[in-house]
Amino acid sequence: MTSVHPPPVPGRELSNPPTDGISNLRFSNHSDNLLVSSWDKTVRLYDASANVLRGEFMHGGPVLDCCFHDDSSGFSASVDNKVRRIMFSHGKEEILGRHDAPVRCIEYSYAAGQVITGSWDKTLKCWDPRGASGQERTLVGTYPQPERVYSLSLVGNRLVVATAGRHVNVYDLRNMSQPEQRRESSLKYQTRCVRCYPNGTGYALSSVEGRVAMEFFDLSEASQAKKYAFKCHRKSEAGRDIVYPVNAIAFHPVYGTFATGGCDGFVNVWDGNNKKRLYQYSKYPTSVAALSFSKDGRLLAVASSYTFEEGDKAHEPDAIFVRSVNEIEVKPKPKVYPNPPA
Amino acid sequence: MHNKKEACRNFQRGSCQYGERCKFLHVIQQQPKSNAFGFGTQAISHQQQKPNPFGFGVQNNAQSKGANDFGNKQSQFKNTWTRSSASSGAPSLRQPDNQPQATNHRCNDPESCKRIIAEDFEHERPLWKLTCYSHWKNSPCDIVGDVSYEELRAAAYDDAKRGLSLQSIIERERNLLNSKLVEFENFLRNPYRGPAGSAAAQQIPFPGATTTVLSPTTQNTVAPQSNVPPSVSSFSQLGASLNTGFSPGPSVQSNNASGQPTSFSNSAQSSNVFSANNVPSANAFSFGNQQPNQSVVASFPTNMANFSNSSATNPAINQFSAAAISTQNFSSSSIQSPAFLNVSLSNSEVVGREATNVQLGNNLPTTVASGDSNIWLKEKWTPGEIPEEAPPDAYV
Repeated sequence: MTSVHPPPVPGRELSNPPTDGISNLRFSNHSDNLLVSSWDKTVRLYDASANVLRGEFMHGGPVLDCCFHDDSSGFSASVDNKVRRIMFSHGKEEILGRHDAPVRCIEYSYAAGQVITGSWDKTLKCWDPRGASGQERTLVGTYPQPERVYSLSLVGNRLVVATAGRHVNVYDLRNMSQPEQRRESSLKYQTRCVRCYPNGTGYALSSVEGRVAMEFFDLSEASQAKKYAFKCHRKSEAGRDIVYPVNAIAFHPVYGTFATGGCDGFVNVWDGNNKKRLYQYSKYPTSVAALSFSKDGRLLAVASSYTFEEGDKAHEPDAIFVRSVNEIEVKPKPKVYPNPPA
Repeated sequence: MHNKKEACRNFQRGSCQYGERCKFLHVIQQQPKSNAFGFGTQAISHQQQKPNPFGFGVQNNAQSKGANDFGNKQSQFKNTWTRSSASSGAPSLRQPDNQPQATNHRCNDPESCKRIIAEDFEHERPLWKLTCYSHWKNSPCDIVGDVSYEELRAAAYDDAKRGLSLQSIIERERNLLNSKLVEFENFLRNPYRGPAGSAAAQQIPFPGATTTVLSPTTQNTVAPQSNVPPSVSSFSQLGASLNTGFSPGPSVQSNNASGQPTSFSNSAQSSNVFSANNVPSANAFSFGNQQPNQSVVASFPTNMANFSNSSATNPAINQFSAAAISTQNFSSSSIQSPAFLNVSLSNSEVVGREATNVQLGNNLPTTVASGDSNIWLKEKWTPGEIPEEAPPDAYV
């Protein structure tokens, strides 16, 4: 890769997008490579700045999640119950292990050196990718969950798992034998997405009811007092709100502000500390299925892909937009205090 | 305290993070409401009985944000707690719950909880209907049976691969959606079949209340323990929708509590509605049958026999029998059966909720298919596909 890229045009659409719904997309921690998983059974690797498809990897079923290991390999979670490792340069994938039901989420923990997967079979599994392939060698542990796993997020040594039935489990990766905390979501409806703050103090949880809850790990009163929830991704119409699910949350790696994407097709950027919305991007053609900031926070990838929240219907083609991010859109604005009396 | 003009809204909700530094007045404005102890019916009732130096029970400690507020009017904290449980308008901005792991909400004030539920359903029905629900944040779900759109989509893709026609996929999925909607409706009418307050439900209700069977809204104001008669009404409502929706034929409607299994085999669709209404009846799915309709129907005859033996020991059977009795109850409007209905219902509901949580989860992705609500978006309906239920709000 040359070190000089032309600055990406805001909101550029990537060419060769997946042919069916996009389930997730992620930027690499090392470059502008973007890994995209899709219902068309492929995982695609793009160079987002150069707008080039670098690789396409077929799977046995729709792929629900993907993550990077490093710039040469990544992992994928598929509806065919299998967890796979993908070697980008060799252009092939191998099976790391399997669940008893579709695998919904996958993360790689640098802290633990393990791949963590959550599935609709109500378990969480940890895998050691250095083991030879074959489930017996790679599986580190299986951890039952109260319900089907819908979303996972990692920060440092902490893992947050959100399941159906609004359960949330917080684990310490160093001791997975039981959750560090067992909670119920503070929102009232189905959880869609959970993401940990980059500073490791808590997590944001979004639901189908157009709300996001900001929670903290520390159970002390002082910390728990800071938690709150806010409404977003709603449209007011004839006195009632149309309440859209919030599908995706992505934290800006530098500023700690975060973007949310919903089925209304909008992406909003929020300042969690000051409880303000910083920006709203113009509406995308259809629901926003996934969001990801690049490692340096310069780029935001948006998967504009109908998520089936209204069943099978005609919809805009699935697309990936990569936009460059202006500081003003994501930088928190500190509160201005009135001048003290002279 | 500084004197500023206005009262601090956050403080009144119990969540002011500034404490004494706050530039608004930390006072509880209780003028529109009755005095502090008039809140006896509400959540703080248990706190008033143990006035401790902090002025409120264990629960409020966490909300006071450290020692700052302790020095303030201690008695007012009781009111804070109360008031926020009464003001259901902005649940998202309410005071944070204290212990994330424990849920301390007991529906001590069913009125306000019902109000919360009604407001939620009125203003904030999400677009995605196949969701679980809890009326109190951090509490366990009141309505279970969560399905995510990915699961629905995966099931649809699977079904399509197996060669199922789009028609039947739509059909089965529509049933799921309808049953979920019915579940929500019934929960709205009778929130106390399952959640924490249901300990009272196990008592035999006063038969006198059954005369108000057909007016569900008035039911709810009878008493917290009146959850049992309302459950009759919820089934009555269900029966009403059953009649209008399916018109299965006179056989269902003319049965009485003595039980005639054949009535159910006539109306496969009605059993589907039952599976909606009575969450426990989803146990039918777990009995290994592919078609939800058939499994529910099949188990009815046996369960009815059991029920007539008044075997209350097996909760699973109770649930079906309860559901079974319910249609008959409506049809015949017999007064004796409500007593049976109520007892078995309350037992079964409490048990069934936990039991089915798992089973629903296992079975839904496989038995249910795609095309959520697409039926409403079609331009032209072919015969046989015209939905019988009213469209969900999103499509009105």
